[in-house]
Amino acid sequence: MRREKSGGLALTGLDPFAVQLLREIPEAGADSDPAVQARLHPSPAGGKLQAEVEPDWEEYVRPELRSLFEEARTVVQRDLSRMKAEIVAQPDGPAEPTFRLAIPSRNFDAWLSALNQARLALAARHHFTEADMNDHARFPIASERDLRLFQIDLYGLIQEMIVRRLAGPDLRPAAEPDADL
Amino acid sequence: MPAAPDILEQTAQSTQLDTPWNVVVHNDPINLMSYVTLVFQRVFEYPKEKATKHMLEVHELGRSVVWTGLREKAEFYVQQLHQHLLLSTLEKSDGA
Repeated sequence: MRREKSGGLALTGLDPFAVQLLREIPEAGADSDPAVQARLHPSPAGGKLQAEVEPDWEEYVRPELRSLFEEARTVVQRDLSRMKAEIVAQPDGPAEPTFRLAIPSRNFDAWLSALNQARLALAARHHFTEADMNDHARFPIASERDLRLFQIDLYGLIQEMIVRRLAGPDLRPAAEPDADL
Repeated sequence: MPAAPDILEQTAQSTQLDTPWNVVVHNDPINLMSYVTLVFQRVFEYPKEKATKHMLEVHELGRSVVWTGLREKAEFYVQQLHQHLLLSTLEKSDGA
């Protein structure tokens, strides 16, 4: 992952497997599974208050949130569609294509949202628990569970890089050269 | 004997402060700790130390009251937190 002069981030050397997982970000967040929808649109209150608050929330707030979430996924979809193939010569074999994904800094918030939607949706759909999330011994990937946990981790890694850029005191000016992170 | 004055209307007035409302954030195992801290900084404009303190409360205790005040603003904050996909609810500060 590289920091670009423009202030954005670039993921380079992506293999087809990583590319496939990245391309699943928008659709993962759009999952209509009830467990997913319940997690992406939780109730704003519990107990006795829930019945009082829920109707207005459903009528006024959730439609706006759904719209904002969809906008974020659309931005990410657009960035993903601009992914570029790079042919890297191999010293002992045929050249293999890898891919480069640029995430402009103006789209950081959309990426944070879409990545988070996807991570939460995958966890809800597969009913992952805290113990699952803390189980990092899943190589080689041997099951659907392993794959989805790996996918959540991959998205989390990108999310972490973006958070660091947004939260850190060192947002470098555009004049600085690209740098590996 | 003088007649007793008629009481035409009797009114009583009382004023009562609205019960404060809490904005509560609940733990979930998926959201990144750094992300939750960033959201607290952005939504409440908390300094990083205070945002981190609340994030750790959520992580270690399962929940943190991140703001208390008028209901309308509490609802606004819960909406903002839901927009950032945090598990958040509002509750009366008396526990109702």
